[in-house]
Amino acid sequence: MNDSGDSATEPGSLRALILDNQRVIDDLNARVQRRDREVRIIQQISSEINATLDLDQMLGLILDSLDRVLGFKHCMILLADEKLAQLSVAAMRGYKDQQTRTIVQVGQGPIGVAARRRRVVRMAAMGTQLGYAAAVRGEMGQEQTQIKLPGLADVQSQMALPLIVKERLVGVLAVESAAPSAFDELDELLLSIVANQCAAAIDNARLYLGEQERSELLDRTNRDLQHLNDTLESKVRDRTAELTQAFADLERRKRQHEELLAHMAPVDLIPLMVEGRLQASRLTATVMFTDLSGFTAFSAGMEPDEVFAHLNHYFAWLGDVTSRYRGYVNKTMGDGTMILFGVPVASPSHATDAVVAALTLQANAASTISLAMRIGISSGVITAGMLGPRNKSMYDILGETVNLAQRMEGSAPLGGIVVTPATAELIQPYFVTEALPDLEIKGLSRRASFRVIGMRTLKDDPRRFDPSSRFAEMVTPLQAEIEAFKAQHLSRVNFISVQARDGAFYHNETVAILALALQRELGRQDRLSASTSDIDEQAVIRLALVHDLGKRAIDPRRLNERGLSEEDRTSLRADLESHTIETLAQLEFDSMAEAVRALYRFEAQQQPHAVFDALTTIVGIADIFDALVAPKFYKGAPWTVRGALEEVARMPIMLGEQRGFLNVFAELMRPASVSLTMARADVPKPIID
Amino acid sequence: MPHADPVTLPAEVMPALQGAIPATIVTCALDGEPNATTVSQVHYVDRNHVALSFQFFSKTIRNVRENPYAAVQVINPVDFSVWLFDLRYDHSETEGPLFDDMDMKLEAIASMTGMSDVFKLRGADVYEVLAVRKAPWRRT
Repeated sequence: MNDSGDSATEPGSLRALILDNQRVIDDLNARVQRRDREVRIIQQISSEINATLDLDQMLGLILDSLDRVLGFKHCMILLADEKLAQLSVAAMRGYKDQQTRTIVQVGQGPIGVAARRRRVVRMAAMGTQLGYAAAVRGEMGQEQTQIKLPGLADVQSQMALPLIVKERLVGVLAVESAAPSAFDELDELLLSIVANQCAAAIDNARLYLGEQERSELLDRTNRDLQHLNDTLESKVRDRTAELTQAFADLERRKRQHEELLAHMAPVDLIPLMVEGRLQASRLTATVMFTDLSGFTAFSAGMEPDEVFAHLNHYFAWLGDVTSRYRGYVNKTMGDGTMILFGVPVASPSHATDAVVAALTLQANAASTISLAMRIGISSGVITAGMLGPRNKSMYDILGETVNLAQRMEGSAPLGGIVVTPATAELIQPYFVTEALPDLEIKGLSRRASFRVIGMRTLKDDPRRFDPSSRFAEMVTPLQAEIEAFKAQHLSRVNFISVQARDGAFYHNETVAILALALQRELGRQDRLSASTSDIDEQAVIRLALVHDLGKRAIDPRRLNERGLSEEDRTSLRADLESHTIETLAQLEFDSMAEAVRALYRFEAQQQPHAVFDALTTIVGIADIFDALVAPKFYKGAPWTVRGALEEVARMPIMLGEQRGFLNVFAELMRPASVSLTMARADVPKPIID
Repeated sequence: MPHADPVTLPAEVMPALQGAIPATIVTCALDGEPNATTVSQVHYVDRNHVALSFQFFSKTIRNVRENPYAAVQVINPVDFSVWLFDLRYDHSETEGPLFDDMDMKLEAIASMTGMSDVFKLRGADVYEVLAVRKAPWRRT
């Protein structure tokens, strides 16, 4: 027995009673003082907490105050992650090893339970209770497992206070002690007040932090925007460059694509092919077959690549020539080729184009491949479309016209061009042909054929002048003179190529011949009458030869359109004039521009009293006359010589000063049987009886 | 009521009610058979009430529901003084602040030892304190 020996508990002694009372009073005073002191401390902590918004600093401050001022030596603050249902140690004080960031699951231990229940958990004698629980667990045959929680290893007392703001758990404040019963209700009361402050402060700090983060985000966004603004221009530039590049790539690929397709079909058809709209169609066209004579023997001793090189050189040249005359090399068969004219786009010049191309080929074959060619030509209706198996289809044509062209080629002499009657009829106004003996053609009836001799020049074209006229005597030497002039001064101009566009074959030469004839006749009469000036013959010939070279730059379809309106005709003539002047500049004949302009003004002149110089008048009369008598694709039968002379005489321009020139021209050109009334320039009358 | 004036638990006894040292409770069945057992904690409720946790059906739980009187010995872990309580079982709470408090503490311990599913508080058995006295001996 161990008596406490406390005399104060013994009644009866007054002194003892007084002492006892005094002790109670002291005790009460002490408790009142502690409370007072603690309330002041809490106020101090509270104001310190509220003075800072930095979370780490603030949590440190709280724990510091708990230790320093309230005497809680081991304390920690955990912050809640509601989504993960766990708490993480944010600040600790009074521990040897830092355990910040240690995780406590909600519901685990006093801290976890305080978080789950949102109530203060005040534990004492935890060691005993843990031992008791462990014992029960042991009795149940289960393994001992003690979950590692942050804090003292030998914890006996622990108080965990939930930190709650607006019904939201922000964390847990925990104090610990190794003493079995370290915390009482007063501690709980005190810490509850601190916890409330702490919770509010953490919330504020978090809000502030969030606000700061938002503010930083805003700042960053603003900076990014500013940067974007600053670099927008260059970005747009870069993007534009990218797009331009992409577009160029696309264009390049499209071109490659089209180039590939161009191996299969004429360029004009590629858009239709790409869109899948190419349909077979029936056309009136001209088909030409060519063949190289003796190529097999020629290439017998050659290496394969040499053979191919020769042939490809030949085909390249052949392609160039034919494409100049709107031909399309549709296929090659060995050294032979099949070339289409007026396909796929219908053209009024298909037959003449083919013949001009054939003549050009024959004229240059020897110098190109030193072998003779045979050429066969046929005109008529053909059917055109894509032909062949899916993976090897190409643009092709069918029809009797095709077979005939091949037969013509087979029957052609070396270096010759043989055409069917249909082609011969189409080209007859422009080319000289001769009939060949009828051919026996397998599977077809007997066929007539014609050999193309060459282009019909003026002296071989009695429709453009009257054989009984004085001019007929002059034509041959004049033509030779003009040809010589061409060869000497205008060898760079391929007149046939220009003329083939609208069928004005030999027009330039004819104008030159007629103008030269007129000019000389005028000179002769001048000498007789000893009146007018001398005119430069060379200027007349040159102007006559080049006056319409601008045609080379104009779409043949436009040149060959029938029945042009007055407006379209005027616009066409304006274009012709400007293109001609451009061409002259290329030929370095710039000095002729003014003469060309005067000629175009002369031909469009509607005023009878306009006056033009002799050069313009002479070439103008010759040009208008040949335009009337020469055959053209777009017109029907040409004018007769007499009709043409009458027509020219009716032009307003011919009623004035120029009438004298026309009278001399008419006298030169008139058929011997027709007498003309030589009217005065100022007395406009028909010149024909 | 055996006492006109209810007793008041003195401040000195409070440390004994923290569960540091297990307490001993003696009850008696209706047939007079006594039962002594150890409980981990006698909880303080108010100045004249304490509570015992009802986790498992035990002799004590059954006895007090037949015969409410019980005697309890608790030990103050600070000075090892021994206190004797005369109690009378009053009622059992399954909700409310007292139940929650006891439940939380049980859960805190259970969750640390992996026993959450075993240590469930079924009720907080509330006893009126009829008498409290300090024993003239100390626990040695």
